[in-house]
Amino acid sequence: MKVKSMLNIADTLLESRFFIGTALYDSPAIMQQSIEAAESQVVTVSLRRQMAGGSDNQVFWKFLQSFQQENTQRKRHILPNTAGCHTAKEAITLSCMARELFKTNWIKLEVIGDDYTLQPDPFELVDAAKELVSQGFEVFPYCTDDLVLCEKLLSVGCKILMPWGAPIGTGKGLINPYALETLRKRIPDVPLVVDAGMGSPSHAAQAMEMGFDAVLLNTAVAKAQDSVAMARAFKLAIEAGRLAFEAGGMVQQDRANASTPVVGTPFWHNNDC
Amino acid sequence: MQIVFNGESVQLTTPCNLLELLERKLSDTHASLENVVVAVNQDFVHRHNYQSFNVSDGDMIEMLSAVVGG
Repeated sequence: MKVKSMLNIADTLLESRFFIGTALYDSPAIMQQSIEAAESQVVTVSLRRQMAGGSDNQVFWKFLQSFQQENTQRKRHILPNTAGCHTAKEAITLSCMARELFKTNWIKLEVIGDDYTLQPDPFELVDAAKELVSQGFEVFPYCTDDLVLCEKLLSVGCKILMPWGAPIGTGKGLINPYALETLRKRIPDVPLVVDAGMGSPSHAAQAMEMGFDAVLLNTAVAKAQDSVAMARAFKLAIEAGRLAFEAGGMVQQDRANASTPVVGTPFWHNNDC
Repeated sequence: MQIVFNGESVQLTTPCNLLELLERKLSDTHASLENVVVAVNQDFVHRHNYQSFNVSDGDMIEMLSAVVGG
């Protein structure tokens, strides 16, 4: 039996293929328990204005420090995002701020083009990615499943792509499996992480069975009735999906084919007799 | 001198550098300088440059810290 393979992303080996967000949980304690249940090695974070008071920020800051330090055997990483940016300029500035604050050159690059769908602006996204790569960032671009856009992002130096499954927070699952399958076939050697839109563990398993390298999600866990249990459910689904992909599935066919041997079937009569 | 700090208009009666302004603003919070990062007029300012950066009339200053995110 095959041993579960590691994920090699941004020159980093990860056992977990489950990237998880830190937002929308009922409490910081539930967030922490959910991340532990997910066994994620990558968590996404963001930056916002420091407000007067702001004690919650300090609780979160302490969590991030412990997240990185507690498990030295299984290194864990912070992936800051540029959520809320609408231009390349905003995203580049926020990325520089994130690098200084979180001491990482990883950046989940989001440049939103439409506020209803939170669909990325492909033109601003490519411009921002190009500049950030030149500044030494490891860019994780949140993009659509558009093949040409993905190829442009690779051409400006991205080494990872994060196509959406569906718009952020919708929970609709993989709304365009054909486009995602095409991406996987046409870009076989680049880590592809399906990011956003998944609502249930079966959606994540589907992405992994299709050969995607990892999954990033937040709302489906944070908004579950029992976030901790749902985090574990997603973890198991992602592992199952990856194992199934590596095992190699059977080829589908239209005609039924009995699995029980036909030879020796009782009550069988040859019509020619 | 009028500036905009984290989206709010602020009147400064005396000239100051960025470090002085940030220390004043941080006294209202539980955060310390190492927990925040700053941009002025949408340009990132490295913390090494806070002291030499003189705040000017009309500056738009953003002081950000870590928050949860997806």
